This record gives sequence, structure tokens and C-alpha cells, in this order.
Amino acid sequence: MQIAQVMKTFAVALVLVLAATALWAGAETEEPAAADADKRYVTDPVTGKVYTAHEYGGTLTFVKGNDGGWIDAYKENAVSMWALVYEKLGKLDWALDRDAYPFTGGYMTPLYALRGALAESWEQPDDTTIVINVRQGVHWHDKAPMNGREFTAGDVEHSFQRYLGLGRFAGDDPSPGGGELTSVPWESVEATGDHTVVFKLKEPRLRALNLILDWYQMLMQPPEVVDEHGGITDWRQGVGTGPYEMTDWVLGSSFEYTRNPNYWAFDEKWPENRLPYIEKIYGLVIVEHATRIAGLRAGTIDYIGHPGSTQIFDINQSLSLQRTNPEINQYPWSQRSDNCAGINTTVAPFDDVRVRRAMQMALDLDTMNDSYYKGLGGTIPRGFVGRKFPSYMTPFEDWPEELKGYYSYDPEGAEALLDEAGYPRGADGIRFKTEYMHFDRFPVSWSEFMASYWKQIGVEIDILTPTQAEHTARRNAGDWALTSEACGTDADPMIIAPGFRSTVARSGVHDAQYDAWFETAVNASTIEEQQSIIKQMDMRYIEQHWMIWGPWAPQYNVAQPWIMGYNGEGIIGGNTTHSVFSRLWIDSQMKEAMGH
Amino acid sequence: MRTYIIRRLLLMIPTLLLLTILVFLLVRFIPGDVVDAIEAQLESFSPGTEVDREVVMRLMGLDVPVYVQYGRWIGVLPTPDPLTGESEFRGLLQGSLGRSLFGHFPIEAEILRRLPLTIELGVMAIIIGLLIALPVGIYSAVRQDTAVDYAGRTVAVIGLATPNFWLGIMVMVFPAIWWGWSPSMKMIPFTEDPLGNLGMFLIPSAILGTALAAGTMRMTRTMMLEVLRQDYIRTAWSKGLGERAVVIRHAVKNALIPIVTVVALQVPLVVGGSVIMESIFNLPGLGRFLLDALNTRNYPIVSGVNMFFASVVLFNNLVIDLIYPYLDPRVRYK
Repeated sequence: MQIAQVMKTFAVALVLVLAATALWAGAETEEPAAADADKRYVTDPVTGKVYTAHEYGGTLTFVKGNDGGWIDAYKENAVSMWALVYEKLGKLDWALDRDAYPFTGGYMTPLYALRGALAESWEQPDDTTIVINVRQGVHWHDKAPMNGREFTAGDVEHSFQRYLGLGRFAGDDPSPGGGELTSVPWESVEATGDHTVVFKLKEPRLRALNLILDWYQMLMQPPEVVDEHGGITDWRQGVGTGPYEMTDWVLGSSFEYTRNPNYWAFDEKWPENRLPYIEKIYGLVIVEHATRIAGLRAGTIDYIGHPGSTQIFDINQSLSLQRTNPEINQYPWSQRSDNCAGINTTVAPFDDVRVRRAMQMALDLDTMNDSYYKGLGGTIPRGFVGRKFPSYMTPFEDWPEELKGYYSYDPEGAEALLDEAGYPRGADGIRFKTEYMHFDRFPVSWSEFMASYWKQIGVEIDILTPTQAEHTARRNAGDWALTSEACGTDADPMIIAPGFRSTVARSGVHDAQYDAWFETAVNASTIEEQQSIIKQMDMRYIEQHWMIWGPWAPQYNVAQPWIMGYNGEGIIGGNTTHSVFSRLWIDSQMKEAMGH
Repeated sequence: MRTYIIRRLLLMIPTLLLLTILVFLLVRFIPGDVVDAIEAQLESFSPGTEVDREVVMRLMGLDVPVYVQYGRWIGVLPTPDPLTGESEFRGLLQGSLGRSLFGHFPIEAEILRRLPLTIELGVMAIIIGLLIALPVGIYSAVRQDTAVDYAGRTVAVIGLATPNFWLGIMVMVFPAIWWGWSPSMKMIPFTEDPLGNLGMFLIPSAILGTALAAGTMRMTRTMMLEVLRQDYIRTAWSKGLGERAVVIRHAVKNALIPIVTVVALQVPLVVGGSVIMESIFNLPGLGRFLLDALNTRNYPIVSGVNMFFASVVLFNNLVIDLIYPYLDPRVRYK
């Protein structure tokens, strides 16, 4: 009887505990549901993705691989640190369909994908004149010596004249990194009114307007600072018109941007919203991959990716992060194939196209992709033009059959070509030995993987791992045979094409036909003509095997789940790294709920 | 003693002069110059990008012969400002280590700004190293060939054999996977949050200190064993003194004299180790400054920081030598 009583009491207690637990659990699930009900959502008009509604404030911490100390766009690659502070005349249209143009990278955005930034509009009254109408109502940051004064055509004139060595800067050198922009035969750049600037050319150039609007280094920098110091000599002098001010910079360690409350621009996708959303953006300069990933896992880092040159290169690292932290978003990002091999075609044995073909035919790209990249990469070969520029290239399916064969796995064919070229196997089975310079930004294991395939056709590879500077020095000196190289880049083909001219020391290519085509392309009078010539140049590159194609593989831009408005983009305009952060916002409720 | 100090200081002059030549030239022997480094950086964005080498070299003041660059660096030739064109004597003799090739900031100011951080890391590492090494080393000697001794020696060998960078990365990787925790990656200044600052430095210092402890522990044990076999220790035992008095009062004091030298000589090791720890734990110290400058071939920074480190080591050695007579009365300088 007593035992039955105890059992009964225990059963009642158990039921009560279970009921209380159920009620508590119900309350627990009800609370977020109520919170969710309070949440407002927005749908991205371009991608269709749904986000929690925009909110202002919050912080974003991202990682950069190297901050370089660059300050002055005239003499340094300043855009990599200052794209949130200084602006250009044009910008990549953030509201553009992501399939119409890749937001991956590149030195300059083609004209069709651009919209005005500090330029409101532009006209070309004749072949040698470009008129830029400067946007009204733009102000410099409220910081000495600019003190929030209005941005004018005079400021545009000052920056361009300095960069190009014209007008008041005549006699000075044009910017050493001026590249295509400074190679244009400019006659003058003059402000003809408060908001009008006239660019004059000595002879017509098809791409002049494009270069004015979005050449990567062509940032509008403060004239008063440049005139006072002879240039920009300290980061504290940086005053711009952009969405953020730089408010701290510990060189080689960290930097901080603070929101410009008077920024002129509105969100291209949600035009009622003034930009930017996030209050503070912190950049951490972290060299070590493991440290970056640890910070992501711990939630102390919000973002790593192309804007900081810190995207995940290693597929295993990506998979490991996915396994341990499935809530963290990884966006596949591929601007090009980084698995190609550059060839110095000016030295034996690679001066013989048969040897270059054999090197390509030795690679079993499908198997390599399946095993090394878990099948996530793409093996269909292309030339130096990327997938996103179909008018400038011939797709693989349209290549001649014979050429397709040279890009297919055929070790016997490769051996036959090497025999024919006069490189038979020796007694030790080796046909020839050569060096391969690995570019130390990527895992060396890929280079070793390729070398193992070449060994099977009797080519012995000695892999060298020089520093990046040494790598470039050896290429510039022509002291190399094979090297890690990128190809098939989704960037303006006219920016990539010059890299294979005979005059570029490190190209490893000497081809008079290609050089002649390039000159014709530069002087083309229509886009269609230029596209047609580039297409020929791309096919020449493919036929002559100036590079050994390796599969493109995804790299990953990684963002915490509370970062809203992001679709994996890398830039908003020619090399404007960091600029995407000006269009993102933070779901602070989610961040807090996740314990950060 | 005074004569000795003056002689040592005078001897430092040719040593420092030779050092200036070495640190100035060595960095220039590294394959790949500053323009190559710039091109490599641009190449990662877009292949085939070129910069105007001649103009870059002129803007950076590298377009003149190396001996002129050296003369400017040590301050016997005037340095023209590439932006304003004005010339002035601005070199080592004037107390300047030059200006960065990028950003144009004065290097000595940046060194002074970063120095406290590297000192904090180094001092904490040495203290942690000593806190581990001395008790273990002494105890290991006193209990020679016991299980404790074997354990201490084994740990020391493991400490010596474990690379700092590996340990640092493991400390970063696994706590993040297991507990979602990682050390702070943003610099916490001591003046703003002393405890946070010490917490930030604790792990890298402990890793660095562990490596230092291994060597010091072995040295302490060896010295203690030697001292414990001395006649005066036997006398102390025979007088009936307790173990504590014999070991601590009589043996340790004498055994520690060479340890002071060992610890002082660890300063260069701490400097080397700080390069790795500062990179892994994102600490903006001098080691990291030097490493970044090497990667970008920022010659004035590499030369300036090396010159600074070399001078510190030189003066460190002088100070050790001067301290020695106070520790060991048998040592006298004439």
C-alpha cells in the first residue's frame, strides 16, 4: 500500500514536471515567434533574397591581409584602403542584375555597368572632347582643411591634372601606376564652371570616358591638403566625400571608418534610404589564416573575403568551417582561375608549342577537380577573357576540334608530342627538368599536384616558393620557365590584354601578331571592333598555349548571418575594395540573440 | 670600471658603424625590390599590371646610387623631400631612422609607438619563463634522477622541441572550434583596460615563455647540480642546516649567476619570437612591423628596425657585463 502511494505521488510529480517543462518550452518557442512577428523584412529587388529590414548603426569587423600604408592615390595603390573615403566620378551600379555583370573584381568597370558617382552625367560632343557634369550638393567631410565645403569641378580638375601631369602639374610625372589612363593622349583637363569639367584628347580614344569614370586609382583627393603638403603624407590628412571617414589607423594592425552622416548618396536598391547604414567599420590586418577563421568561429570577426583579399582559398578550410559553424554564410566567389600555369615561351623547351601542348594534355582536369576541389570547380578551358564577357571570347564548344583535343587529357598524345619535339625519355625516364615558381598566396599543394601529372610524361618539376616580390622580380628579369598564374579573369578584357604584349617583360610572350592586334584594339573606333579584335587575341592565346589551363575553383567570401544585404559581392567599381560595406546593414537583434 | 665602460662605449662606435652598413645593404640583397613588391600586390588583382619603375624609384628616393642612399640614411648627405623638393640632413646622426616608402611617416616615431607593446610581450614572456623554469629546474636538481626530475626534463625537451608558431596556431584553432572562443584580436591599450590588456598578452607571452623556460630550466638544473656538489654546500649540510636554507640561501644564489646571462641572452630570442606571436595574435608590435616591411621591401623600415634591435642587443650585452661584478664579486673589470 505504502509503495503504491509512493508510486502515485511520483507519477503525479512526474506529470507536473513534464507539464511545467512543456509550458516553459512553449513559452521559450513563443518568445522568438513573437519577436519574429515584430520583425520587418525587405526583399532585395535584384536578387529576390529576403532580409530583415534595414537598420542604421552597429559595427562590422572585417579582415584585411595587408594594409600597405598606402595613402596617396597619385603614387600608391591607395584605393585598396580608401575606397570608403575617397570617391571616383563613376561607380558600378549596385542595382544591376548580378547576372548582367559580375561584382567580383577588376581594375575598371565597363561603361555599360557604370552609373554616376561624383559625376552626375557626361557628354561627348565630339571624338576628342568629354564633358563631365559634376554632381551638385556633394560636400567634403566636415574636417580641416576642407571643413565640409562643397565639392566642385575645380576639385575634379585638380585631381586629374595631378594624376596626369597636366595644367598646374605640367612638368611633374604622371602617376607611376597610371597605366592605361595615363597612356591616353590627353591634351587638357579644365573646369569651365563650378560643376563642369572638360577633358580634351589629342586624338580619339574609345575608352577615354570609361577611364575617366572608373580607373581604379582615380580618386578625388582634397586639393587643399595636396597643395599644403605636396601630397598626402599622413592618413590623418585624409578628407574625402565618401560614405565614411577614416578615424583610426594603426599601421599593420587595425583601422577604423566612421559613418559620414552627411553622405550624399542613397541606396540604389532602396532609393529612400540614405547611405551608409553601419556606424563603424573596423578593419583588422591579420596575416594568419587560422587566426581569421578562429575569429569567425568566435564571432569576433564579421567578414572575411575579397574586399580584404582574405577570401578562403582552401576548399578544405571552407568545408571545415561549414562543418563546425553551419550558421556562417559562405558565398562562392570566383573571379578567375588561379590554378593555371604561366609559361615563358621565350626559352627552351617551352619555345616549342608542341611542348606547351603536351604539358596541357598531361593534366587530367576532371579527375583533378573531383579529387582536389571535391568537384566544385569548373574544368571547361578558356583563354584570358572571363566567362562574363561572351562578346570578347570564343566559348570552348565553338573551338576547332583539333584545338579541343589539345586541351583534353591524353598522356600518350602528350608523350608523342614531346618525342616529336626532340625531348625523348632518358635512361632515368626523364625527358627534361624544369622549375616551377609557385605564387605564395595559394596552397602549394596544387602546384605539387600538377607536377605529379607532368612527372608521368617524363617532365621533372622543381617547385620553388619565392616571396611575391622575388617572384615578380624573376619574371621581370625573364629568369623563369613555369609559374603559378591566373587566367580567364572576369574583368575588363582590355585591362588584361596588355599583360601579354612583348614589351611586358614578365609576360613570357613574344608575338608580333598579338602586339599588332593590341595596338589596333587600343585605337578601335567602336566597341564592336574592339571586341572582335580581342576575340582574335584571345584565340591566339588559346591556340599558342601561352598558359596551361587549370580548373577554376570557388573561393569563399564569408559573412556572419547577421550581415544583411550581402550576396557575395567583392567590389562596387574598379578595385574599390571595402566599398561593399557601405551598402550592408546589421541585424542587431540576431547578433545579440547569437551572443555577440 | 669607468675606464672599462668608456672603452666599451668607444668600441661600440665602429661596431655600430659596421652595423649600419650591414643592415643597410643586407635588405637590398634580398631578391625582388620595392617596385617588384608593388607589382606583385597589383598582380594579385589584375595580371600584367605595370608601374613606371623609374618614377616610383624617383618618388621614393631610390633613383640614386646605393652609397648616396646610405649617406642620406646615416645623415652625412642631405635628403631631398620627393614631394616638396626641399633638402635637409635627416639621418641616423640627426636621430632619424628615415621615412617609410609608403605613407612617408617617420620610422622612429612608429618604433616608439610600437615598442611598449613588444617590451610588454617580451617582459611577460621572460617572467613567465622564469616562473616555470626556476622552480622546476631547482627541484629537478635537488631531486636528481627521481620521477619528478625525469618529468621536468621531459617537459623541458618537449618545450624546446615544440615550435612557437604551431603552439600559437593550435591555441587559436581549437578553443574556437570547441567553445567558440578566441583571444581578442583588437588591441586593448593598457591605459584603457589594464586587465583586458594583460589578458590579451597572457597567451602569447605564455607560449613564448614556455619555449624560453625549457632552455632556462635545463641550465638551472645543470648549474644547481654543479653547485650542490661544491665543498661549501657539503659544509652547510654538515653544519646541520635544513634543506631549505642550504638550497635557497646557499646554492640557488650562486647557481643563478650564469642564469642571469642566459636570460639576458634570451632578449634576441624574444625579439625573434615576437615576430611570430605578433603575427598570430594580431599584436601591432615591432616584430610585426619588421615582417610587414620585409614583405613590401620597405627598405628604410627594415634597416631602421634592424638598427634599433641591433643597438638594443649591443647595449643589453653591455648592461649584462656591467651587472656581473655585482652578482659575482670575483669578477673585476680593469
